[in-house]
Amino acid sequence: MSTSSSSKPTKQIHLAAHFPGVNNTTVWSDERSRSQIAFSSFRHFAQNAERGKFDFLFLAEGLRLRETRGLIHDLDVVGRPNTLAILAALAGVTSNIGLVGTLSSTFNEPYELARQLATLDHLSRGRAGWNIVTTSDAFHGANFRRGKFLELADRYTRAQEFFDVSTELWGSWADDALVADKRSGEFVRASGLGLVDHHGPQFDVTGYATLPPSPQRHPVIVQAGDSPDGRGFATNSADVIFSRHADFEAGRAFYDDVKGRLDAVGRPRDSLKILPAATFILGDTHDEAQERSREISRLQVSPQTALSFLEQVWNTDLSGYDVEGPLPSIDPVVTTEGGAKGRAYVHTDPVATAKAWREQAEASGWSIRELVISFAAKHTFVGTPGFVAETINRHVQEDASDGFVIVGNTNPTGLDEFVDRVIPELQERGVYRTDYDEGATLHETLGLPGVAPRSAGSLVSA
Amino acid sequence: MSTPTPVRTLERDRQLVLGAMVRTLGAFPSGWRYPGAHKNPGNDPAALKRLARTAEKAGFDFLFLGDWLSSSSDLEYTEPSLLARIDPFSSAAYLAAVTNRIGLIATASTAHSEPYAIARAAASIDRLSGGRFGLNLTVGTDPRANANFGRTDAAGSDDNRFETGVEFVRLLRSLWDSWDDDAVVADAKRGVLVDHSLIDPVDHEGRRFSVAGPLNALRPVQGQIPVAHAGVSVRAREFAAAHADIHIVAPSSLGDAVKFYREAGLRATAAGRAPGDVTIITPILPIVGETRQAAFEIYDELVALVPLDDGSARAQSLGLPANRSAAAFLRSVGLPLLERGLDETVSLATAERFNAAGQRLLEVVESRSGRTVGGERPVTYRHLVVAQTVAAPLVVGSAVDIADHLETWFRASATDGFAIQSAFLHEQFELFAHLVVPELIRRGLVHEGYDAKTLRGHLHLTKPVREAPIAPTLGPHWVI
Repeated sequence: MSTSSSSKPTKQIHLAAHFPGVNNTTVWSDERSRSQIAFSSFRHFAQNAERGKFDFLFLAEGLRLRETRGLIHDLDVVGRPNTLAILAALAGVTSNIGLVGTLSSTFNEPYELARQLATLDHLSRGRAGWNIVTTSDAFHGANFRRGKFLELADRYTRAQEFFDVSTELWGSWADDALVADKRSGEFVRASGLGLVDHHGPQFDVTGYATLPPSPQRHPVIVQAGDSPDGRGFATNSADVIFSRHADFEAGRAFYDDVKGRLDAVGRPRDSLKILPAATFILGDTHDEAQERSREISRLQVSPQTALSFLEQVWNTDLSGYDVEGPLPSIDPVVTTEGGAKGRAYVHTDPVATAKAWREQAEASGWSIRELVISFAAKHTFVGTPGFVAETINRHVQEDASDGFVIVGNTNPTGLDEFVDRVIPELQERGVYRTDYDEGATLHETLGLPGVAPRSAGSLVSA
Repeated sequence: MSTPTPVRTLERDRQLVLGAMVRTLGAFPSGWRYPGAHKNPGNDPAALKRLARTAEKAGFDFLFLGDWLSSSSDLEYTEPSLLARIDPFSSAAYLAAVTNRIGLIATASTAHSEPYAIARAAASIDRLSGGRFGLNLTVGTDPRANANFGRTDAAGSDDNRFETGVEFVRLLRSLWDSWDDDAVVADAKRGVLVDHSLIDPVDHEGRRFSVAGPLNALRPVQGQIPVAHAGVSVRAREFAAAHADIHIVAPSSLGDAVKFYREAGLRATAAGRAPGDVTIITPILPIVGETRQAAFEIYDELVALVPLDDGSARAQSLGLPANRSAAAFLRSVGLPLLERGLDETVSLATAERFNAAGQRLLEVVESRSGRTVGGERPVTYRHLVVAQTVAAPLVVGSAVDIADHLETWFRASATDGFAIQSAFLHEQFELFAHLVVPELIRRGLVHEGYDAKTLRGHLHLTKPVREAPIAPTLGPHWVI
């Protein structure tokens, strides 16, 4: 990569607000936490993020209650309303912030989901986004009539075809198809309604879309998978990558890889924003922030949570172990039916994972709980608001990212102090908007080029 | 049956249930053309919000969002609202955020949707709205919707479709009961969020569906979300009696309605429920005016805006439905094919030659527009053609006229309430809210504001006790 950073224009930072709650990042037991489920919490979260001029808010998704060894995994939030319902409701109480939901291409039908996403875009006046995810395991499939058929290798085949059919549906009404001329009585120009006639290995869809083009015509596409297939899909079809590479060096490598892929397919580099997930802990001084970070990480990894992480690898009851002591010396129980169900994160080789963890804990002098904290509750940005703002800016200006997906540790108020204290620091540096552009769509807020609809055919990966 | 017991009595001082059927482009085919009417489905969100707030201010019990999982440009002249519309579930969630008391009913298809996804979405909107969601289930299939879902198997016999519907609704009920109301304990000290003994799987393996469960949403605020069904076939009646909380039916006469209502009570009893468990709702399309005369004029204008085939080249080019033709109309009422202008007046001599169908249409025209053959406001061919092609349950008149109609039906035990359609938005709905609702309040047929917070409450239903799902699949629970 050739760098000429001296002449580079200053990049504007893009931020997303992640409503957490399906993992241990959210401390539901914290006294500042309010309901993870009531609409008032989502409204507070969204309106606070909008006050902070975030590009969009982001909701994750779980299609089944998680289980550990046959029991519902109950250490984290459960029972939240579904993504589309929350986002549609939030469209009614926000005006500018993007609304991005995680929705599976495996257990939905494109005709239905494409319509729901276009509806969200209508309801929000052009602020809808779709984090397209794949699901392939029988555990989730057991709740759906499609069942257990999808092979791992077919995940992205289906996702790509799902996306292509959706794009055809979103593109099927011509801009001038709706006439609604009261005088002549002509409501639609019949030739302006394109017939979608798709026949592929995954889907057969023949018909007309039920709604006129939405303000963005198609939602902003977010992609979060890290595999080569996932990166390939993002290169072809996504507008935003939600990455896990918040670390500076790993972030630069990922950024370089993905932007290079864009060059290869002839897409402009600014047409795909890379936003790693990041947590933050603020303090008036560096030391205070570090101290808070330690406290919060212990709340995020309660003794029960620490053991649960180990049990997901060991696949056996470890309740006799002291989490402040060393890791179990016994080997994990290996079965074909894994212990933990309903998470994206799966341990493919438990024995090797256990060995690596044991070695790392011994080398660092860590207890069970400290080990779990090191990977499950490590905070990305810890320091004063000025330090955090400066760090974020450095990542962006030096091409480790285009911004971040910020996650708080309590709901729904965890991002309030970020908005109060870090956002003004970014704005003072001139690298972050002080207001939204009037009536901007999410596409426009993200600064994405080429808002004209893309043709579906060009997106099919070779 | 020897001594027919009155299944439902008039002694109840229950008031009528009042809902609004949402069709943003109007329930009258030419409604969107009316001066000032909402006409752009791209602005539906704003229209929905305004409608919902008007309805809530007037104390409506629910909004009903219908659906049809396909579209085609030939709906332009018959049902423009079906041609272009947004997803009803998302609309309900959106409206939940901007209203506080009104019930919100959205439609799902048992043929095309997943019971697990629908159970969850419904429970979610119920949660977000504080217990105000209702679910209308359609069991039908049509070739167009099938083609949108890549299905060739879905088109089955009536029985098959209802078998699927029954399995679907039972699954919904089980999933909504998979959590106890008290399952979330959130004990921070012990680090325990839920009580496992209060959450049960569903473990259903049926003919159409296999669903493991439990649901990944809390038990709905209402416990069980009210289920609505519209349909009058024998199977639909049985389905509604056994599984629905709201049955929407549109009988063509008061006599039919009274008979239907009585039989619906018997069917509910036969299905092991109380007659009052199923609320019967009648759709109605009132054209409201400040005076009866004003209402007639609004109707006249709507009639004038219905594109008809007068035989001209331009009309031919519109691709109108066959029943929009003046020539076809004349044939159907038994007149020889004469050249008649659509706006020509029907003379007494001609009217005498009408067959029975033609005579009935003359009555329809009179009730809708006050027009009579040989009267001061004469009958035109245009009015007759529109009366034939627009078969909506129209009632045209002043607030008193419309309240009279509703009161007559309600007091005759023909229905428990009404779903108000509007010929166009927003004027017609707002006239109903501002003129007819106060008249209904004066008569004690509805009360001002709300005395319940949930849709079940609005329907005079209590929250049912949880019945934990019965697991294995062989028990009578799942026999269809």
